[in-house]
Amino acid sequence: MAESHLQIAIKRIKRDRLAVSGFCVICLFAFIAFLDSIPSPRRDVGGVQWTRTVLDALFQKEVEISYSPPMTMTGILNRTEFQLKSRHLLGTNNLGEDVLYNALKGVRTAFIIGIVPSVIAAFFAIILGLLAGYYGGWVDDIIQYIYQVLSSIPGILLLIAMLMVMERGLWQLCFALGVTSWVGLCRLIRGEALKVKSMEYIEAARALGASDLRLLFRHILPNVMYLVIIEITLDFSSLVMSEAVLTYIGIGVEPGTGSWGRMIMMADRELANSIWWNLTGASVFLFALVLAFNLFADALRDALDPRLREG
Amino acid sequence: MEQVLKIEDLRTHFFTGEGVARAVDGVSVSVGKNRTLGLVGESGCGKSVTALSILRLIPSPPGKIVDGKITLSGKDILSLPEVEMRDIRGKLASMIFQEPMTSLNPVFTIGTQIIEAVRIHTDMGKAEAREIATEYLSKVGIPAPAESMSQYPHQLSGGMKQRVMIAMALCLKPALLIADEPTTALDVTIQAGILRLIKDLQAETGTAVLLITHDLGIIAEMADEVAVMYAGKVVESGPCNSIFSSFVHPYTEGLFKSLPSRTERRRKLYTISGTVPSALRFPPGCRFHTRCPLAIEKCKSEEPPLVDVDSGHRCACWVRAGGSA
Amino acid sequence: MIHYIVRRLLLAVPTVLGVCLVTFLLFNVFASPEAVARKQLGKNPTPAQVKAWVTAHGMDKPMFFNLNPGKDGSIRPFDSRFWNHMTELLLFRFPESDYLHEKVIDLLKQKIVPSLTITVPAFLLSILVTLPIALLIAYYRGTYIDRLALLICVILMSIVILNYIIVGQYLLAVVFKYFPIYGYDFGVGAWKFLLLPVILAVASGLGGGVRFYRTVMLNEVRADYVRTAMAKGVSEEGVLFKHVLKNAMIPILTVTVLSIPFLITGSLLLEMYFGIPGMGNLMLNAINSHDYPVIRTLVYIYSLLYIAGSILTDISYTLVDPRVVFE
Repeated sequence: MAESHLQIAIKRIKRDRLAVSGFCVICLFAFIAFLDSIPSPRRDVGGVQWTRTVLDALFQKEVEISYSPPMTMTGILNRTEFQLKSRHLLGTNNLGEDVLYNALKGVRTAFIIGIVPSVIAAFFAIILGLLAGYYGGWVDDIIQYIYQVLSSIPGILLLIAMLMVMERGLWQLCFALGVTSWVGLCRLIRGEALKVKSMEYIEAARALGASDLRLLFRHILPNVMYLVIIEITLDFSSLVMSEAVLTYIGIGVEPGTGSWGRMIMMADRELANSIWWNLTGASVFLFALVLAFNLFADALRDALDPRLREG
Repeated sequence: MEQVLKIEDLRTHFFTGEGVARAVDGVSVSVGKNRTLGLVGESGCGKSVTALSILRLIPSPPGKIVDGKITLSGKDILSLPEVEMRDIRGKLASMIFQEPMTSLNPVFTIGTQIIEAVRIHTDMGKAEAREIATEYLSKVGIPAPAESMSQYPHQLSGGMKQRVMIAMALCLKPALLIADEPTTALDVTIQAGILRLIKDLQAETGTAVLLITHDLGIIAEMADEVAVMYAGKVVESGPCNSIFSSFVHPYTEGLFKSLPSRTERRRKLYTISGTVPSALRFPPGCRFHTRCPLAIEKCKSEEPPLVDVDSGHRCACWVRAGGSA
Repeated sequence: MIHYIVRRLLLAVPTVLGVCLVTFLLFNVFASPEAVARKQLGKNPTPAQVKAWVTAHGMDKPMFFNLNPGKDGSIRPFDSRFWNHMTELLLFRFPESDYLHEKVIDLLKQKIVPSLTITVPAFLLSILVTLPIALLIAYYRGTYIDRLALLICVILMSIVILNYIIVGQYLLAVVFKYFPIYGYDFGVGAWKFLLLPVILAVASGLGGGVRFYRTVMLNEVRADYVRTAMAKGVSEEGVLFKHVLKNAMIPILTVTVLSIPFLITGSLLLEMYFGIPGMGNLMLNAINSHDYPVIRTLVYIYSLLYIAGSILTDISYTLVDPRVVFE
C-alpha cells in the first residue's frame, strides 16, 4: 500500500535523532505555554489578585525585596543580606522577581511570536502568490509591484516604522512582523503556482469544467502547502530571537508580558554586580527553544523536499 | 585475446537509511581491444552503477564496492590507491555521460576544460595542450575549432556539447571508453552522428568501448558483444549476432518483443508485465520470476547461474538454459 | 553596460515612488498627527502644545490638495502633506531632526564613517573566515566531520546575538580586560575600540554564514559537471577550489553584494553597546525619542541603498556567470 507523503515524511524525521529530541523539547515548551493559557481560579493573597493561569498557580512566587543567587535563602539589598521568603530555583533578579517564573512566563510569548506572524504572513503570501501566479497579466504586475516596493524597504526599518505608529503590544508586534515578512514566501508560492498552472492535471481539471477558485484551492494550494509549512517552522526561531532583540532595544512587547528579551535587557545591567543567573535563565530557555526548532525544522524541510521524495 | 577490461563478480551496494540497495550484485563482463560491449537493460538494472564502479566514482557515503575484481589493461583497479586511480581516470579509461547539457562546467570555456584534461595527465605546456585540444575538436567535427575553444558550453547545442565531451574523453587516447547512454538525451537526428563518431574514433585508436544503453537499435549498430542486465545481474551475454538472432532469456525475449515492429501490425504493443523491482527488495531466486511467463517453482527459490548455450553465448535461466524442465 | 545601468535606474523609479508612498501612508494615514505629536511631546501635553507641534510640522495642511488661500491670499494647491512629503524625499531636501535640531543630512555625514569602521572590517573578516571553513567542510562532506560541523553551526546560530554581545563584552572587556569596554575615538586611535565589536560581529554570524556557504557548495558538488571533472582525473581539491568555487560564486555574490549598501547602516546593537556614534546609534535614538523626520529620511535612504544594491548584484553576475549577458 503506497504511503502518503506525510507518512513518508514522518518516517524520515524519526530517523534523525536530533530532530526527534528537538521535537520533544518543543512539546515540553508547548505544554508550558498551554498551561499559561488556561485560566485558573483567583487566589487572592494579601488583597492582591494573583494567579491568572495554571502556570501562575504552579510557579508564581512572592516577590522578594531584591536579588538573590539560585537556591539560597539569603538575598542582598544595598550590600546587606536579608532573609528570603522562599527558596528560588534560579534565584531572583534585581527587583526580587523569581527568575524561573519569569522565564516560564516568556514561553507563551515566544510561541505566539514564533507562530502568529508566520501565519499572518502566510495568509497574505498564499492569496497574493496564488493570484499572481495563476492569473498572470495585470494582476501579476500589480502584486509584483507591491512586493517589489515592500522588499525595497529594509525589513527592520519597516518594522520599526510600523511599531512606532502603533501602540505597543504583543499582537501589534505579531501583526507588524507578519506584514513585513510575507514577500519571500509570496515569491515562492507565485513561482510554484506558475509551474503547477501549466501542468497537465490542471488542464485536465479545467477541461472537466472546474472553476478557477476550485482549481486554486483544491488543486494548486495543496501542492504549495509544503512550502508554507517549511517556511513557518523555519521562521519560528528567527522570530523568537527577533522578539528578544526588539524588546531589548525598546520596541517589543509591552511591560507586563512575559518576555525573555525583557529579562535579558534587565540582566544586562545586573552583570555589573555579578548577577549572572537572570541572564543565564533567560538565555538558556531561549537557546533551548530556538535550537530545538532549528533542528526539527531542518529535518522537516529535508523530509518534505520533493526532490528527495523518490525514497 | 587480451581483454582491456575484465570485471569479475562485481558487487556494488548502497547502504541507505531504508536498507541496502544491491544495485550491482555479481556482474562479470569483459571488453577486448577495438571491440564494443553493449550493456543493455531497463533503468534501474545497474548498468550505470557498473560503469561508475570501473572508475571508482561511486559516491562513497552511501555506496561501496563490496566485492569483485576489476582489471583494466592488467591493473587491478579495486586495490589501487586513490592517487593512482586519478591518474587512470581520463587517461587509461574515460567516461562520457548522458546529459551533455549539464556535464560541462558552465563557467569555463570548452577549451579550458579540454586543456585541463590534457595537462592533468601530461607535463605539456599550455600551448602544446591547446594544440591537442584543437586537434581533437576538429576530429569530433566541431566547426572552426580554434575559435570554438573560447566558447562557453551554453553557446553550443546538445549534439555539439556531446562531441566536446567525446573529444575530452579521447584526447589522451584511453584504452577504454565508457559511454553511459551518450545519445539518450539528444534528438534522434543527432544520435546517428554521435554514434558514427564514436565508431570512427574507435577504429582510429583501437579503443575498447563499453556502451551502456536501453536502446536495442543502438546495440545492433554499435556492439560486437552484448550483455543484458536485469536487477543487478547479467541474465544473458554473447556476440551481438547470436543474441539478436537467437535470444534465449525470457527477459531478452521480452525486450525484443516490446520493440514496435515496422512490418507486423498488432493491435496492442507488447510490454513485459510488472515493473522493475527496487534494488532494496529484490525477489528471491531468479529476480525475473515475478514478471516471467515461464517461471516454475525452482525459479522462485534458487538463482540460476550463467551457463553456456552456444559458443560465447551464455544465459541464466532454469527453464531455457538449465537443463531442468 | 551604461545602457543597462540607466535602464535599471529608470525601472527603479516606480519602486522609489512606491517607497515614498508607503512612508507617506505610514506616517500620515495610519497614524494621526495628533497621536504622533503626543508621543513626541512626552507626558500629557496640553491641546495647545499638540496643535502647535502639528502646525510646526505642517501636519495640519490638507492631505492631498491645498485649496485654502494662504496668509497672502494666494492658492498653492501643492502645499499639502502628500506633495510636501514627496518633494522632500525625492528632491533630497531632507528635514531637520526633531530631537537633535540638526539637519538630517548633516547628521548623516557625521555618522556614516564610524559605522563603516565597524561594518567594513566585519564584512571582510567574515568572508575571509567563513568561506574557507565552508570549503573545508565541503571537502569532508558526508563524513562525521561534516555532520559535527553542521551541528556546531546550528548551535551557534541558535545563540541570540544579544548573548554574543553581552557575554562577549562582559568576559573579554570587563573580566579579562583584553579590550576597552566602551567608547570611540576619531582618528587613528579608533582601532582599539573597534576590535571587540568586529570580533563579536564576525562570531555571531559564523554559524549562519558557514552553513549557508556549505549549502551552496554542496549544491554545486551534486552537479553533473563535478562528476565529469572527477572522471577526467581532477583531484578533490581541484574540483572544490576550481570547479565548484567558481560556480558557487553566483549565489554567494547575490547575498554578499546585496549586503554591501547596508554596510552604511551600521549595526544597531553593536553601536548601542559599544558607544559607537554611528548610523545605528542615530536610528536607535530616533526610535526612542520618536524622531519621525529622521526615521522617515532613513527609511527612504535605506530603500535607495537596497535598490542600488540589487542593481550592483545583477551587474556582478555578469562578471562571474558567462551565461548572463546584458540584454
